[in-house]
Amino acid sequence: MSVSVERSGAVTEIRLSGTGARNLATPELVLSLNDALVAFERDEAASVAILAGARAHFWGGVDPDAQREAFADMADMKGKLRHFAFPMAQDMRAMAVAWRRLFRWRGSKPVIAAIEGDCFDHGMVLLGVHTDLRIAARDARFGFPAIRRGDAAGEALASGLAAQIAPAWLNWMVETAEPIDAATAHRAWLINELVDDGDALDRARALALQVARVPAATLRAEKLGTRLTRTLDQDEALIPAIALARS
Amino acid sequence: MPVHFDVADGIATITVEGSSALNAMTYEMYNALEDTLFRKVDNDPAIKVAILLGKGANFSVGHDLKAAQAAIDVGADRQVYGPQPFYFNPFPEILSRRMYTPVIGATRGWVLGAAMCYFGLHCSLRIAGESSQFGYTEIKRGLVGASIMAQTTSQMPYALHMLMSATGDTIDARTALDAGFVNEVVPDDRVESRAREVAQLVARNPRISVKAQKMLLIRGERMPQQTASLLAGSTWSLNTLDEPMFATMNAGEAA
Repeated sequence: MSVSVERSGAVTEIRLSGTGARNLATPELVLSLNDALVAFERDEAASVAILAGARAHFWGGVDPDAQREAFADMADMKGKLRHFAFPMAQDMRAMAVAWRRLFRWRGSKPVIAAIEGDCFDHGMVLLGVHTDLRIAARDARFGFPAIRRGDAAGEALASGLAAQIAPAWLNWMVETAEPIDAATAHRAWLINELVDDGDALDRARALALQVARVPAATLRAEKLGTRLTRTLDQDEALIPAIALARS
Repeated sequence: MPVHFDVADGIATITVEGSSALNAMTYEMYNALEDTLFRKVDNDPAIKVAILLGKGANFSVGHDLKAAQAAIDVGADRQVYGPQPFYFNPFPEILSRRMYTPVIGATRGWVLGAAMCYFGLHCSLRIAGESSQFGYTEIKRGLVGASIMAQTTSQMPYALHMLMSATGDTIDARTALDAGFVNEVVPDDRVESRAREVAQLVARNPRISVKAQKMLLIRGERMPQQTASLLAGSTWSLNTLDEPMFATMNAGEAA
């Protein structure tokens, strides 16, 4: 069971179970997480979610064996073309499509990340794209170590963290491929709060209750407004802002 | 020789040396830096990272205003700087191109005006010696634009940047660290060695991976997030098209 979902009142808790002690992501995890986030978005009774690793790590990286298996048909050019050039031809539940959809799709409801241990590579994309508030334990680490192993893809770009933290820190994580510790992440405003090891989920739950007291419609309007209008001109930003205020 | 260039173990070291300890910048230096950064460093497959330093106690006080004024006084500005009415035609190539190779800016003393253009725009990683002072002091003399050309507005909190723009005062290394503008503050005598340590961290990584990720970040700077996600997603194929890279990635080496 790679993703477990529990709802209590207006708070939905999503726990991630990858493989091994480092909680490496598998295709099944990506598919299930995608489904869980969509379900949370559609669940009218839920207004805030918590995202946490089920084990000692949040997202340690990608399980290379599982990945090799899922992308086995990319051994030849026809397979590669099917995955990247003609994605519409794919089975919608196929790994590559789900992967792409997970890291593009935006929800409108606030999500709190509770991070213990490692948050690497696509975990950073998850952090930047899908989470809005972040609680991390002191042993947490953040970064893109897959770059050291040859990963040339755009996780850093896809994460959208360039718009959330100082560029110098995103550059550090990308160019040195060295993970940064939780204290540095806190200074860089990648995370909101530092807690002791083991306390991230409890703190996230307390914060979730606080967030849940705000009317659900307001939360959605605020999150959508914040995310959507960041790059708009002032006058352009007023239009959705007013529309959201009136809705 | 205003710009020294030296490569060892995939690390390029670029040292700017002016005619005085202030390392004021001249046109000869701009041309040499442009040549070094874009033609030598970014194009050389053997170079994985560069370090940019000023020789001695200062990084650079920026454009040599005395020399510029002297040129205006004798009417030489129009010949040197071209037909533009504004006397100062700052090195356009270097302002519109970006480095895809990581560059570590390592500073001591003054980092002012035109020097901030290099530091802010081209140095992606930053080590500041304790004596570093960053700013746009030319603002006090009525000269406009360096802070915008340097694009430092997106690199530190708005209120702090406005303080620099409105007063022309500098900020020190600690303030720059707190603001996320620099990555580390070290004692002045540790600046070169720490920059080298960081360069070695970068040099351990495959060149193409780092350059591709950095290029995507630069390209994505003003891109809407959905477009950026699509671009990033499609680059995943880079991991598969270059077989050795994919094989390395899937070898399952520990992070």
